[in-house]
Amino acid sequence: MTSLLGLDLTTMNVTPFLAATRAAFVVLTFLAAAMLSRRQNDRRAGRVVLGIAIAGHLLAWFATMAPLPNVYGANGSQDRENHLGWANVVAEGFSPLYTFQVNHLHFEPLWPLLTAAASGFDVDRVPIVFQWAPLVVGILLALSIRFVWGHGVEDREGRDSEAAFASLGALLLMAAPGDFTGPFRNPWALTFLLKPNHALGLVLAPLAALALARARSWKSRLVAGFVLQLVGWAFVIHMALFVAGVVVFVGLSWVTKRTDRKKDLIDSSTAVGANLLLVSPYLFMLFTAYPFLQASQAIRISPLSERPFEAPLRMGALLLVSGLGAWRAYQNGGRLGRILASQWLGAQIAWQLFPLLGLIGQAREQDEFFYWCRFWMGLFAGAGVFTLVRDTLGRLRAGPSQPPSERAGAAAAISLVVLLPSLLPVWWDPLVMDQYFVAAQKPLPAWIEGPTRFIRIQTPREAVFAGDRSYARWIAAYGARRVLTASSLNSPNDNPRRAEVAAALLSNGPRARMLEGRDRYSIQYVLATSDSVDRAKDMALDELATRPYLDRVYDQEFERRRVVIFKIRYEAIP
Amino acid sequence: MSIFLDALRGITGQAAAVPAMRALILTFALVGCVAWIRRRPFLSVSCLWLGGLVGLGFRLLPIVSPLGLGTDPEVSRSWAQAGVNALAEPSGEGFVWGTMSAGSFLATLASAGIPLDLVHVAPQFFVLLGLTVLALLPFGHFQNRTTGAFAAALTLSGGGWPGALPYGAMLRWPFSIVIIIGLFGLGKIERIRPIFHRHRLHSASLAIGASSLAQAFSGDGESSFLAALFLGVAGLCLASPTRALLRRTLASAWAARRVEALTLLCVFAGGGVFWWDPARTIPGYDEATDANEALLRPMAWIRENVPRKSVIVASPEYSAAVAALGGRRVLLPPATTEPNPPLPEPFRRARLFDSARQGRPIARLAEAFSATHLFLGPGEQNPADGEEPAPTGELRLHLALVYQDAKDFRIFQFVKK
Repeated sequence: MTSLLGLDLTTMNVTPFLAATRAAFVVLTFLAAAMLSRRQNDRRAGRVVLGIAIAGHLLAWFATMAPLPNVYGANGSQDRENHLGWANVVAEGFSPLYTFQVNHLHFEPLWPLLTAAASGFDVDRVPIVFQWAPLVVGILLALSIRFVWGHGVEDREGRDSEAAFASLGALLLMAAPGDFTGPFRNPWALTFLLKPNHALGLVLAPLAALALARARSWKSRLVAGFVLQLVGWAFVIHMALFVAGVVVFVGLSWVTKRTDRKKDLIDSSTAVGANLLLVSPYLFMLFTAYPFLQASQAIRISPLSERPFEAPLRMGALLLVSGLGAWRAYQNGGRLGRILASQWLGAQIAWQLFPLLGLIGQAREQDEFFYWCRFWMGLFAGAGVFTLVRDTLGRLRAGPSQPPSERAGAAAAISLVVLLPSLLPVWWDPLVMDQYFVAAQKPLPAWIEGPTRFIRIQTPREAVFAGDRSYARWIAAYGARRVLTASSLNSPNDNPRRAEVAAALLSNGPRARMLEGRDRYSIQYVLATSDSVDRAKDMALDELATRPYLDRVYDQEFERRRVVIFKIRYEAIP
Repeated sequence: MSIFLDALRGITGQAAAVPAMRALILTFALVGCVAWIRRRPFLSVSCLWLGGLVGLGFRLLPIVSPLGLGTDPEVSRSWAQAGVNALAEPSGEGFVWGTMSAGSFLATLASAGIPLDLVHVAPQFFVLLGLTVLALLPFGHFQNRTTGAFAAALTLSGGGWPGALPYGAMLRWPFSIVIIIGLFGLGKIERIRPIFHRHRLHSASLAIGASSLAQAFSGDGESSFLAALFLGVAGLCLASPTRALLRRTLASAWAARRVEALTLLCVFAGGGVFWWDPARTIPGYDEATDANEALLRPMAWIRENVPRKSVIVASPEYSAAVAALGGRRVLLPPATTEPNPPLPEPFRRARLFDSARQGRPIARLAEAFSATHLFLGPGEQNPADGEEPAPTGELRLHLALVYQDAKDFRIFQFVKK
């Protein structure tokens, strides 16, 4: 057995392998700290710290992905399998504007398009792209923050190192060791490994902040709006949260009575307005395709819930230094610093609002808010520790003994050592902390692997499947075919109609409904399983085979269930 | 007392108790912070210690069976040896007949004459003791009592780094309490203190590096004991410079105290017992919260009715439990995926085991191994009754059922016809 990265898994002992990657990072970081302590200037220190951030992300990614024969999240994560399905159907040449539910508008169209394009529109390469995407997006995030900080914050002593520590923090300080026991699990794994498309939103958010900070004229304001709408296309919740941070930014300008508060208001409202205009087709898709504002019992939380503590307090002392980092950025970081620090504050406020939203059954997407909050906390914790150490050294060593230009190296060395125990690659143990890693180590169950292999090889590219809604996501994820409805996705607005069509096909219903399956939804196959959840309870699989218009093309009894695939012969419909 | 503990266990078992427990801990932490601001450092540490006690007690109280028995092979052997050391004769030998004693802290406690029931709760007790020692330890290191209190508050919360809590590791490895008390003693040595103070930044760096390496090698969801210990040492090293820095940086001592209090609050709520959830991080915790009354009944019978020198023939699945809870030696080592220590006379043991399971134990082997009873658990087949084995010329014993209960635990005594 080989992993998706091409390593031989039969000889790999995972536990020592994971320990080796963790130890390698510790040694690497100490070597970097030793190098930095030798009077390195700010620019070199920044490069070394950025290198450590990327190396840490790479090692943690490699530790997690190398032992996996399947795509990370396979066998366990519905979200991941949905993403695979989305990317597969785009790689097969279908429009990225639709999900794998036929004719169903998408709410995250950018990512399937990117991954399908990266695979060269080859379905066989999509899993490999999914394995590599977290690494690429993580590196892009580090570079994005470094770029934004370097170009938006005024040039001063230690700026490059500060930027590198912000990158380091955003990547490797967003999670705490005990997070995996909480309801939202490990933010790093769930953002970068499971949902790199959401991490893409994090890559774009600092760029949007930079564009807004540089807005001077109408043209540059529109550019800011354009960058912001890219965040929306990547992940609309990040766009909404970013806008909330911009509101905090403007609010703080007015509360503190800044002289440029009117400019802040005009720039921000223009950029947000332009963003809303640009992203309006997407918002239209969202509103028309998803009834997402309906209150639900499942997303009610108690006003006395401990959730408000969950994001900030699990970080311990890092909460304090991240607050300090945000405060210093607000004070000394120029306009960009104020925007970024406002994002930190906006994220905290948004998170604290959940008990109120929970009262009206609208506390949805808590995990995404949690990760957003942690992203900004990690970013400013990294920058905050460096600022603290640099300032401390400045006070202690004020004098000719060490020129300010070389102080950054020493401060970076100390900061690296102080942060080391909290950096994710030191304590990341996916065998214990990551259920998706454990699940993806196992091969796909035969009752998924067998039928989906048949679907992929034996059915035409444009085939659409009706039938078992629970099985539908595997048809898309591993069979690379579209389906009528999938219980793993949001229901389309025409769901009742789809249900009628599916019922007609299964139970020899009205002819017009059955033909609608062909004409409106292009259904060619029915997949049914012995799991009776999605069929009429009194309907046996063998009864389906008696339908004159259903040709049995696959029938296999597995340990857990029987899976049968029928080809629909519309010409035989009575 | 037992009724009181059972009532508390009933409370901790309820889902709503977790947020209530956290609210209580947070209240202690807040009171501690207010006390710190009002220049009551000892009161502050006491409040944090009480908060820690509540948090740890909440998680430790539900443990009613030896933690790790039956779920962790190494710990199971340790419990088994402790049971035999406490109740079987001769002492000083292994819990599997004819093997060397497997040395462990728990077994040593049992050998020292501490009642087995107390040994069973020793890990929980040592964790609480550890919390107390960690709260006291820093006072031995600092001449300035307030700095000592600051360091104590940091140390009992995990040293300042999120997730670096020693209590889970202490629960799994009770010997760690000896190391902590040893550290406490080191702090009292006058010669060491100046060295420690002179090189505190280098010491802190080394401790952080050692901690990171220890964690890297151990992995796991819980912080390893060494990792947490080294971070505690780093916290001790950095406590004084941190306070000095705050005094120099901030405008007034009062402002510095407020920042210190905020630091303590964040550290306690982030790295302390606030989020500790051993059910998710310690293998065997859930099993240890089940008293397993069904198994305890035959074990109690064994303690009372089987001679201390007797060896019990039990399948490897029940070996550790018979030794740990019944306090008698067993013929076969526990079933484990890890290699057991070398076993003398494995073939003769296997013959005795097979002959006993067939209902006609070989007398010569039973005498050689001092085996007197056969233990069978639910699902294990009764020995064949009355069927004569192939004649080998060896004298065979018979089995007499001496214990049976509704859960189908059975104990047979070897008897001559």
